[in-house]
Amino acid sequence: MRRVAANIIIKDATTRLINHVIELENGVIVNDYPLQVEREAVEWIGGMIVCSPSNKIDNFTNLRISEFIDKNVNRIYSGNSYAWHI
Amino acid sequence: MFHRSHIFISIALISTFLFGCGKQIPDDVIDPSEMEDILYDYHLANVMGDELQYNEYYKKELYNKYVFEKYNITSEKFDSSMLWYSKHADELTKIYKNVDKRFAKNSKLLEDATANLNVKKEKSFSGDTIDIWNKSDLVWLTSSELTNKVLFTTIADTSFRANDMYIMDGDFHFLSSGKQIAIICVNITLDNDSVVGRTEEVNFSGHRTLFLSANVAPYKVRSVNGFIYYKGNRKLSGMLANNISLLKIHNKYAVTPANDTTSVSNPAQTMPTETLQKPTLDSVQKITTTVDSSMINQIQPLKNDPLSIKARTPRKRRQVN
Repeated sequence: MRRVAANIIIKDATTRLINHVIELENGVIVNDYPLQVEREAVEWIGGMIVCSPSNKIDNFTNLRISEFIDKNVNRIYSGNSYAWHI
Repeated sequence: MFHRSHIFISIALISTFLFGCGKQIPDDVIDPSEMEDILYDYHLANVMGDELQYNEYYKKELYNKYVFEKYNITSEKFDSSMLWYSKHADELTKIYKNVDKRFAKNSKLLEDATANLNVKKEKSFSGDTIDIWNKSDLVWLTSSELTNKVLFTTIADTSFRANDMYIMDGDFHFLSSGKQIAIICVNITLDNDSVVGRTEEVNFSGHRTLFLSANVAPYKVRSVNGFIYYKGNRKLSGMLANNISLLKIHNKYAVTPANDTTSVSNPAQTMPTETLQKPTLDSVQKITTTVDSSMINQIQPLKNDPLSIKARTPRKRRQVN
């Protein structure tokens, strides 16, 4: 289990979480919640985390961030997502 | 001398007698001025309750409860006070005359307010975009059961299409600090009674947007409904929501899905394709920064994961013979 927190988490094409923590189990996102209180083993990595159903992302050189997000996130969050830090 | 003191005693006796005849309101009976305010609101609540539709009839009880809560009295105290006033009809008549005057004075204002509520407000934008929010732009939600939510329903007409997108946004201001959240929800009800919706929690003050995009073809949209619900305890002041809008945007890039829209066995199938996702994020936020491979890293599991360290097994205690 790993807990990381960032400024923006793009959960799916329509959900952007601000200042949230995500929990990863073997690299797969299993939970998310707001970063409201100090909690053990939460790493603040800042920036943006994109939740993608893909374990491998390629073909994204010189894409705009919005295009990258459009290509790599689900339209509606459906679990089994991997976290990518930008 | 004796004569003068006799006169004073007589005056004192007469005045005592006169004042003794005035109505002394018992301590447990509500004052006439407050009773007037309560009766005004109570009758107003009753009239509002009578106007409700059958499916909202439960609100009538809440309206009366709200009046008692507003004046910090119980229904028992109100009933016992009314019993006392009914035995002193002249006092009650005075109160009702004042209440009647207030109703007459405020009837014009109430008519205007009701007229404003019934006006269907639809703001038009360029293209097919329209604001279908038909409630007040500014709402104050409190923790009371009566005023902790705003429900809205818009019956779909021919302009509602299966692939429309809905964006509900507004500025939410929590009026006091403390643990409190608001929940915003937009649902699309289809002609086969299915509901597609999205719910979002608002847990800090600021601007929030809820985006609902669901291609529901081949079904038709019957109505769009939802709510804003404030969840906080009674000590908190509540929440103000203003600049609320619910935009309906026609998504001309959407592609009609295959017949079986419920099959999501493989998550990769739900990945957006170039055609499907084109208008979504670009229309919400324009980011011009480009990314390359050096900027993006997958968050991997840690080797020495502090959360995975197993608790030590307790040592076996030696048995002392």
